Amino acid sequence: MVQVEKEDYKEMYGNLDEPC
Amino acid sequence: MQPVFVTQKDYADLLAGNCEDEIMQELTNKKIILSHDGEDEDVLSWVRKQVPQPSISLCYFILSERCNLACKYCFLGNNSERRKLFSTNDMSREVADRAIDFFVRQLNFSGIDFEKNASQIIFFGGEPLINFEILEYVAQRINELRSKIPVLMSCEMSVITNGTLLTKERIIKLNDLGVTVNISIDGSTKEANEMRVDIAGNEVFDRLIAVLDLYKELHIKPSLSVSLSEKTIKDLPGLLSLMEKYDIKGLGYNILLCSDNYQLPDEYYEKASKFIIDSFKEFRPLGIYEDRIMRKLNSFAHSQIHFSDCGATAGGQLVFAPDGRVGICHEMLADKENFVTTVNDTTFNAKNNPLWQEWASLTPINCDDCIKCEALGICGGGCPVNARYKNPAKGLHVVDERSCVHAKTTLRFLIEDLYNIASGKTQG
Repeated sequence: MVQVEKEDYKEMYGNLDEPC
Repeated sequence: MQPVFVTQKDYADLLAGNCEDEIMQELTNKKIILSHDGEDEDVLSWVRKQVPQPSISLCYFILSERCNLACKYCFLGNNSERRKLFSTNDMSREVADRAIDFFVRQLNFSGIDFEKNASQIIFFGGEPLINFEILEYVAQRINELRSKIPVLMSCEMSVITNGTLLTKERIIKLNDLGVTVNISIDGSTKEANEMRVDIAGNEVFDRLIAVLDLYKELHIKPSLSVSLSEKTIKDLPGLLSLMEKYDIKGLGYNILLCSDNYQLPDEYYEKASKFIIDSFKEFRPLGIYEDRIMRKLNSFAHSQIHFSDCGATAGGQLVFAPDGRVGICHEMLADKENFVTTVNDTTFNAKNNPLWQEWASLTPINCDDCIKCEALGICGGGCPVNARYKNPAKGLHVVDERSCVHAKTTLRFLIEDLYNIASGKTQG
């Protein structure tokens, strides 16, 4: 099982700040 | 719900009924395995109680229904026989004043704390810059009222324009007024922009590049509104080069709608969704925001239900027509369908208006056809008007298939992306 941490979700933003 | 990543062996063990306790516990914690009968129904019942009731936070000022272009994919139909349905009378100062008053009343009714949350005004058309005088008037008025009316304190203003009527003076004026400018352009080439034509059928791409050159000269950054034409989604490098040249840091993609005048092949939505994801991969390291996928990412990364992807189906939107009629959806502008009151109505309250309540209920969370969809939590639905066009018998209470493709494709990407990050960490 691959452990998913909160930091992994943060990393999905890359250089984007978290909140037509 | 959050994903749990297990090996194929663990999965086989799970199906065989001899799964490790640790994995079983994690699957239960993440609600992938139910801890008791009826748990799914309990969760769904709770989530449905959280569906927001109508609360106005944004409005469209339709400054003019006239447009100097006749784009081939125009979702309003301002490019065909329907053109004669649009009014030739622009918004007056008197209507604008009453619309501001009407908007402020609804903001006060909304119950939203506008010291923490921004209310929002979008200048729209037709082509809103045809009536630049009233745009300038409304923006100045809002700026004057900020210190006097709390719900307008942090009001954000933006204009959606085809860009052809922007001059150096207007660019500077809009910047000074704090109005964000979103210019409609579909890529870096004439081919990508071939749908954008004036009334005589002439392409306008060269005029848009001249406007972007003005922005660059003035060191002001516009945002882009990019409609995903079939040519646009074949040329991501071209769009990236355009954005780099003009230092664009924000944009929104528009997935096209079908109409009597404009049909799309079935595979279009899959390709458009893939284009949005491919763009995100390029934009992410550059810090460039694309609205549509960010809403999905925010929902996924924060385990928050995304109830509605549309201001109207969130029950949060007003549309002011130039003649002062008030509606809920600007896509219904030509026929004035669901324009149910006027700016003179001082008793109106969207929170208890049946039309706004009905639209606020149009979230996929309330749609039985959507309940078994894996992307339900991040979807937010699509456009009820587009859905009705594809399936008239069901009225507005029908699934917009565009959003299904987009939500499912995006969810698959987000899960794979998270897996790559999490597994890369353990391998590294």
